[in-house]
Amino acid sequence: MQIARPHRFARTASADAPAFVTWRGLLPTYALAALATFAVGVFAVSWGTVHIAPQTTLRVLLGHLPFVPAGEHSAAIRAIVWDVRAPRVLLAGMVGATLAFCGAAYQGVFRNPLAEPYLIGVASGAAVGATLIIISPLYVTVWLLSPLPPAAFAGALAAVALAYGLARAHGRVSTTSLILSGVAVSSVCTSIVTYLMLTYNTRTLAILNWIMGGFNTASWKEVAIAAPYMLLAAVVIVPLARLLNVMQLDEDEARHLGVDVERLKLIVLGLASLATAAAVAVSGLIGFVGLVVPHIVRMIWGPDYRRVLPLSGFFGAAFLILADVIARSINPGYEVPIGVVTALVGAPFFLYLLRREGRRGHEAA
Amino acid sequence: MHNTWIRRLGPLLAIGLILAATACGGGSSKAAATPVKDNPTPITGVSTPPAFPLTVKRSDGATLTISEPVKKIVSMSPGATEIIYAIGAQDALAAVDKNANYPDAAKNFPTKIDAYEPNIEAIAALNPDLVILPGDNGGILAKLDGLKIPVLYQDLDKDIKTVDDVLGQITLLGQVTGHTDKARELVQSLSKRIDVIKQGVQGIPSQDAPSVYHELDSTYYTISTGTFIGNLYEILHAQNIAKDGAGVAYPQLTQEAIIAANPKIIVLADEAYGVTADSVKARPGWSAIDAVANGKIIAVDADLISRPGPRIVDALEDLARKIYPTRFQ
Repeated sequence: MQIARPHRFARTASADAPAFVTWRGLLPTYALAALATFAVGVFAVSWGTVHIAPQTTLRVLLGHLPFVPAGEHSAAIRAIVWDVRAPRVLLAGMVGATLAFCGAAYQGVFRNPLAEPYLIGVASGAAVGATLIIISPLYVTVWLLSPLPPAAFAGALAAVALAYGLARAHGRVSTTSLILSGVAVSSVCTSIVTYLMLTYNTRTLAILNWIMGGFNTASWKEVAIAAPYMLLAAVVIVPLARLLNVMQLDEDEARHLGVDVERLKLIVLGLASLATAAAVAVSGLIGFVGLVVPHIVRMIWGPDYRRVLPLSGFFGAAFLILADVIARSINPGYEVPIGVVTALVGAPFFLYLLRREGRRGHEAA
Repeated sequence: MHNTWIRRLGPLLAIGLILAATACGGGSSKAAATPVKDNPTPITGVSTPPAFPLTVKRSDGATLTISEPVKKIVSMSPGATEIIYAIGAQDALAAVDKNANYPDAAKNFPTKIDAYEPNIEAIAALNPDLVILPGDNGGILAKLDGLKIPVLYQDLDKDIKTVDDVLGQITLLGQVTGHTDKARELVQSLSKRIDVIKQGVQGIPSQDAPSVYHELDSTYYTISTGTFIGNLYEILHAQNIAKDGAGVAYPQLTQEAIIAANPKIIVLADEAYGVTADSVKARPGWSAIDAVANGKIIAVDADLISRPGPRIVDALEDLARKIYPTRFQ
């Protein structure tokens, strides 16, 4: 954005930030995080209830590249590696990255540590969309396209737009009114879903199953559907990280420093909601990742949004990929809801970091 | 966010899962982690003579004593409702569950109770002398007990795990309503039909026993051997790929486990929700499964197969014809 020269303030913005770091100086950090996430992904693809040797996995995967001989593998192994595991791991990574990244962006805009990507209605709006499809005769898995993801996507965006519109006054949207209108819209959506669930009680389980989220039915189709929105959010929001840093001071102060706060909010929230809606549409509601991963990243790497945003993305991807590995490994061959795993694994780790942080603060004082 | 639903519906879930999986015949059926116990509670009253007072052991361990044939039943189980009609005891019905849809008279029954959110006042107002409960939904059992309304609580997951258990229910409901003769005739005719099937599959060598994946919904929920649906496959000498479900009655399989198990037959109980042989064939990677390659994807009527009533034998015969087309016509 052309409206500010934030690098001058980045230095003063956070007094406890050590030395000034350029974008270029951050590249090694990004590269390392990307490499680590990739390694987690490769591990996850070669891990499963059906034992397939890592070299076999790799050969099947590479066989899909041009000019690489595919090798001789049974149809089942090819199907498991390429049609089931690879898209599943990729989708889990994409959804984890999106939720954590958008969580960080939401926290930046709202300047509220409890902000998460579901805060202003994405999740509950998507749930209404998905529920309406599940109870309707449209719930047909036509062999290429299920109407469920588009409906969830539309519901999510409608709820966010409604919350945003309700909070808007005199051309401005205060973060407080946006949170409040988001909560109100979410409550209405939640009661609609609850009512529908009880009215169409033969479909209660399909609805709950969707709400609990997961990657059991992941395929390349979902990957392709969701990827553009997620990439768009990343490509546009990451360069705005410095403005988000300035925003952390105070909205009015940021305004005086020349930041077009309203526009920044609209762009960041709009794209983050779009990406989250896409994630929710293909995976259901997976809690905890969007709230906690950005905090973990902040505790380890500090509050600079140029670190928080991309590293939340990588860390969120690795986290959800591993959570999904656990979800499909606890009872080999059977699924465990992934939301259970994210909370069970993530919460204690988060608490540990919180305690450590608290002790360190105490010692420093 | 989603925790709100889980919190709100937590208690409802416990039975909801069971009901939808078994009673409603929903294509999306699945159940929570209800461990399958090895010590099936004996259904007393099956072998005891029909003399009153009749004592029945409930799933919660309490004993129900019935001193005379009941005349005002609130049946919260579509399966039990089908049995009551089949033994000609329908005059004793005061209300049926909202999901009851067979026979037509049950479907059009004037008084219906929502088994998912049972309204205790609506039940009490009917002044029933027996409430048939297939699961304890939202503490309804304690409430009914508190009002001293006799409750026949026989949990679908704990006590009705085989086709024999279903026959036991018929006998029991015959005794409870005083229609013992009709119930005995029904059990005899059903047993005869089951025996025909059993003879038909006799002598199938174990290596020829087909492996089966029974799909409850499009996210791969299925049935384990510890359920009365799983029992149908045992009777048919078919191998259920979900086996004991790691202790879960209605487990969710991973896709790779299904592909690796390579079932010879796929049974769809979710056709009502748009899953068809064609849509299964179109699933990425599923062409590696024998059942898909050989076109052995069969659909069953979810209402027939998921209700512990007399029509479970219809479901058994239907499955037998579809799995062994050469042995059964």
